Amino acid sequence: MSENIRCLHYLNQFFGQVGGEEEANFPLVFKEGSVGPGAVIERTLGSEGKVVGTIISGDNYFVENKDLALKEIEAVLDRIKPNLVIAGPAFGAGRYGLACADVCRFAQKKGISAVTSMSADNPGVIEHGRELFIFPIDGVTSTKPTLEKMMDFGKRLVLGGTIGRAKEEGYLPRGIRVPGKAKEVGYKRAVDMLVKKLRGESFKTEIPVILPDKVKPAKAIKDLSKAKIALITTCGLIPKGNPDGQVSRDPDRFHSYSIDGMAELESGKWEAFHSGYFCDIATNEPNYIVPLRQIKLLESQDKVGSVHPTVYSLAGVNGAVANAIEIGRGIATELKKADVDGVLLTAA
Amino acid sequence: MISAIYGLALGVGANRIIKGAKIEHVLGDPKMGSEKDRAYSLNLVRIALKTLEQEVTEPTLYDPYEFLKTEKKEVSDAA
Repeated sequence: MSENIRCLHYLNQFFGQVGGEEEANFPLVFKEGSVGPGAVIERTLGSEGKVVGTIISGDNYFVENKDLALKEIEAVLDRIKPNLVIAGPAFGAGRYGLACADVCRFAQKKGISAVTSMSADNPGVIEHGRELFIFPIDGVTSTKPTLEKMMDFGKRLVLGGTIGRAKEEGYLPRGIRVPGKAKEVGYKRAVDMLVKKLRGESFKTEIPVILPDKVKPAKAIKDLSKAKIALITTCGLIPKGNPDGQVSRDPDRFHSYSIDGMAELESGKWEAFHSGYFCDIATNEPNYIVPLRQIKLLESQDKVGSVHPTVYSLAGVNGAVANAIEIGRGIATELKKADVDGVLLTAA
Repeated sequence: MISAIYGLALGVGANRIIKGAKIEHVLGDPKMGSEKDRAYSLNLVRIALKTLEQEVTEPTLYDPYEFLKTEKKEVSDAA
């Protein structure tokens, strides 16, 4: 039964005992056996397997040479043939957390089970939380119990045991709904919850609301007359006839339309398509939802530097927060590429 | 961000919010008649752009009328 589990451990330069920030450019290396916190993994495995090796990479090296680093990791995976990859814990460290997530996702792509750990607000969770088993961790003192939990879970991933829900196992929810059977029927659970709420007792909602991210306000624009401004709307602006099939609710993407050379949005060429308000008024006067005529006039008076020649549109009804984050990120990437300084966003 | 449902915008944490006219016509009012409406709409957009020149640290709501009043006061003070 020995060596059922062949575990490969990923660490950054600090936990890999190479050095601190001054070693952040330390190139990726492979070492046989366990290093640092890997000793806990080794002990937890006992006769069920072993740590076949440890990959150590500098935080900067990994994020700055990600493609190369992943190639180097692929070579190790192909040679060492682990069946379980454990990465971290990365705690609150952003670069380390992202690297752990990338390593795990890469291993998963190659059919290898992977588990990582970092604090719940690490960028690695925000970027990859839906794709990975990530065990939350607060401080370094929780390393041992967290790694033990991860190994108990990881072993079952490899050997095909039952995998429970996030709150039972302790990993961060991946946003996957698994059907199950509750002890009581819905109306009883709802009334029980209400009674608890009225009594001021603690209760747990069955439908947690995902709150939007807090976004740090952008710095003020110093000189509007030199600024490049983009127009975005969640009021559902579409070219007449909706040629690319924009949806009027539950958007999962944004649409880009060229407004290059236009002095206004001509009625008859554009429409509003949004299931959350009466659209006829905006269809008759599309500049009510995307103020192209107004901003072009201000541009001609040198009150605004220039207008970004693309308008971004969607209908912001019933949008899921997770989709909204992705959509926002996508638009922001385009704005950054185009050196846009500021945005006017019209929402109903 | 210009929105007629500005309470919602504040609630979810948009950082610079300008009160829009109405849900169905955020940036204007067809009842005003074309000329007045266009001037009103232009002012809304101008004020919205002006808020981009203001440093904010948290979700901040701007009322275009209040903004205009302050502007007028600044002009008369300067004169």
